[in-house]
Amino acid sequence: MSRYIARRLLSIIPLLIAVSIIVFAMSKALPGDPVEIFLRQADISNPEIVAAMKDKYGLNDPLPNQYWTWLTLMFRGDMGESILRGEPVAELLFRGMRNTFSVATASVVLVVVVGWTMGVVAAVVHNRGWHQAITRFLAQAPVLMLSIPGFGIAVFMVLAFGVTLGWLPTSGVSNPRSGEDDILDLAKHLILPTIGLALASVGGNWRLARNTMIEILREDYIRMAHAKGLPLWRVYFVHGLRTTLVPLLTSAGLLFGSLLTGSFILEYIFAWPGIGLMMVESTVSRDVPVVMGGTMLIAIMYLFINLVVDILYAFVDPRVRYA
Amino acid sequence: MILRSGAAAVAGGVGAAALAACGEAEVVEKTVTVTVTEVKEVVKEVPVETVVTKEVVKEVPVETVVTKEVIKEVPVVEVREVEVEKVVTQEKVVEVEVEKVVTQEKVVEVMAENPKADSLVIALPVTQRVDDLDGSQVYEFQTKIHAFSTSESLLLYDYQTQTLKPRLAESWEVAPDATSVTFTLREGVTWHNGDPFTPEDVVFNFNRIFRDDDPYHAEGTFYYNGFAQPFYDSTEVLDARTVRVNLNKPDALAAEKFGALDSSYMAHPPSVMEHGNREYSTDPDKYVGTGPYIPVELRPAELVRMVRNENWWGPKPDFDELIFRLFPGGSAGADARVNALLAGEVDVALYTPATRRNDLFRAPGIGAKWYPNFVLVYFYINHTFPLFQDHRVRQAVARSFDRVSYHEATSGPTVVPWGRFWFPGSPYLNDSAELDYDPAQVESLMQDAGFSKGGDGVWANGDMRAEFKIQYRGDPGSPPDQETFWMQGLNDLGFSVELEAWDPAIGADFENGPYAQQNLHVGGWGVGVFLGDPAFAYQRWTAGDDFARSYMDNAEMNQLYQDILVEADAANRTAKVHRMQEIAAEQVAWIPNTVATLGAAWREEKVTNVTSGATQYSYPWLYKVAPV
Repeated sequence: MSRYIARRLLSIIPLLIAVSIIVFAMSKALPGDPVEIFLRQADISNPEIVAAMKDKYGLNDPLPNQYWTWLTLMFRGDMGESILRGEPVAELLFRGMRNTFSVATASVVLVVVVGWTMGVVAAVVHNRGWHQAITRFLAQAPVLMLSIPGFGIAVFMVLAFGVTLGWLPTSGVSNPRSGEDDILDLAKHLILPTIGLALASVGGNWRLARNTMIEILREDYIRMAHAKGLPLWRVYFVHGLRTTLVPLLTSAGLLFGSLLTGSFILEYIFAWPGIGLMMVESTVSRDVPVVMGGTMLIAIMYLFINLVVDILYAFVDPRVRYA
Repeated sequence: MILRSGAAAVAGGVGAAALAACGEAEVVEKTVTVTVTEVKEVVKEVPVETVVTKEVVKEVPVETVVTKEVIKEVPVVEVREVEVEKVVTQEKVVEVEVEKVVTQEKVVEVMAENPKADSLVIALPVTQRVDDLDGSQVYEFQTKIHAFSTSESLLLYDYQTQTLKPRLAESWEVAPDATSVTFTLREGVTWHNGDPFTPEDVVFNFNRIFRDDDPYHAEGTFYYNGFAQPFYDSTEVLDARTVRVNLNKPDALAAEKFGALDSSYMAHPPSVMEHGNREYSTDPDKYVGTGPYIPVELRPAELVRMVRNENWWGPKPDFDELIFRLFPGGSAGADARVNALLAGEVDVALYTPATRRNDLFRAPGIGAKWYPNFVLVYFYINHTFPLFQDHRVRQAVARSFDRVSYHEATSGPTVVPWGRFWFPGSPYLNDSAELDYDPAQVESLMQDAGFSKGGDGVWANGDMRAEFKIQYRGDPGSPPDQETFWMQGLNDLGFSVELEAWDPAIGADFENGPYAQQNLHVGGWGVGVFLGDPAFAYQRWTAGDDFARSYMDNAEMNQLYQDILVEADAANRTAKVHRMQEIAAEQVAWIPNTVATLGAAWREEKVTNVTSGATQYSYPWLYKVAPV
């Protein structure tokens, strides 16, 4: 097992180098000069100021030098300073990632608890003579969830539960009158963004879990388990569920990765200061250090999540280790 | 009521200590009451200088002043004298205590009568440098609202009255030759940590902000010092309350630039020296200012919390605490701010979007208003483009935009359509210099310029057809309504106009982008007018300025601009500004469009007077708590 993990870890290094080259090349290919764009917004066009600022951010150096400087500094944890915000990029990204991580984690938990559970329940009751309304609901509900766009339901929830009923906060990560470490307050603020972000994924995973489990419950080894007289719960939840988990784990891993970057629209609607929002604003404003650092960070997170999923795979399905 | 009982309690404590020492418990209560009354009398009669100092009072507890032995040995009458004398000594104690009680009393009364005064949550949009507290280093307009609540300049420009007002300086005087400005500082101003504000602090700050070679200039980001820096020479202390800023060339706006411009805000010298400009400006623990509120917490991209500075020199602000809740910029952030206000999560929302005006106007208990802002929005028209080389054609194009109909139909009260070159209500406005919509005049102007309509209905003069592009920033697939409306209006009046989108990323490329001389026909821009003075805006009408994208080169205009930079006489200056506007209208220096507005909305049950004191900036320390 340890050799397997080591092998997977080593395979990440060339990928990271490739990503770093692509990120750097893309940042240079972006049209517009970041310093000039920034200063023009303040009606500043003095060439001396522009040159000094370019010098400060190393934008006058040859490209290979710029790449090497950026790479070496980044691996020491120094991603430079945001042109737009004047803050160290690492601090900015940490803050954004912390906020996005909380809502992404809550979303994945919602997907696992609701999506997987309902999918398994739907598979178990499939063709077992339950009332048709129930089985139809269990089969069709995820389709409905998948067909409603997350931002649409988010706007509706804000107006209904926030503005009209006043039950839940409409935006932000905390009540400004409460302390920063108020967990209950954070949980309240997480409810609407999490539902908005996870609804479609809940539907998708519900459907995936149901279909996979139904297929698996038709397998010969399940029939054998029934024939051996094993109790139903053991057949379903030990033999059936374990195999079902393989595609579900992949789905959850990819989902978590995509939520880290794909939550931009929800972050925008809920004024959630996450990394998605930060990356879009930085890209539009050509805040190159943030774009480069953020893209690298997201790439590293993706690779890390994939690694974790691969390792979990190996635990769930021993064949993977020996492949 | 509470004041009286509080004073009685304090005095009672003192009297009780003395009487308890006499062992006459029954007399105690009666004497306590008498003591309170007498204490007040004595205080008024005895000069403060003769009273023991606060330190002494602190060092000598009241109980040890009146000793048992003394009181027992002295006859009753003398005891009374001694008591009076001691009361004088104690009086300082009592007086101090009473003062405290009075202060607390007022707070308690306000709280009891109006619990809404505890805190005010203000929703602000921010996209960039959200964490600056030092006013001289702030970049973003919105961030200035919280930075200017804690950081102060020598003077304050009041956008409502368009005049300078005293702030850290009580008065000021520009030299007749406009080569220096003298500020007389307000007495009794202290920094948040209790240090006195001195003329030496002003010297330190102006050198820090305006001298590149100053050791404390490094790391500072003084984005707006460019307006004053070229004029700055030195600052000298004249006496304990007076400083003089010497310029290296005359400047009629010296008081505005060094007194009130965004860059001229005062920072606490020892804190800057200890922490450096960046740390000082971004960490509430290291920041020390003079303003009405003291920052206590800053969560970047989330909130800035400030508490009232009880020692501020000005009238006490109503709210104990201000919380600036930070939202993203852009339309979604604006929606989120409005939603938060409607849901009661914030008390004030600033920069509210015009698109939500109906939600705000209809919501019960919500006040909403769009205030004219000191920003002129206009279109550039390229004088060097062949069609536009005749000023009559330029005028015809300018007079073809029915801005009033368009803005009234689309934006209602959230926009001020404006075909003139300065702000309504200002003495600088020359009301006769206008480029209002006038289709009849368009017709005659084009004919005067030698154009006639061809078979296709388009104006032509020989080979030159009235064809051009209106260029806009954004997506080619979804042109803005305003430009589309104007294009249709122009086409109806005999022009052949198309729209052309440009990528925002290349907008700032003045050599090859959409505003480059070889590319521009007509395109939109806007200008923020600092401190309400035309000199900050009309440089765009002078040849060679970076932002002079109409490419106008008029000798009289160029000279007038140079004149108003140094003309200190108000009447002469106004006359010259009026003449500049006449030339601007005749030559079409730009095509005026609107005076921009800033939206604000608030919960009426909580706060009133929102944006009082300013139109461009909102000053939260002037907000008033709503009556119960």
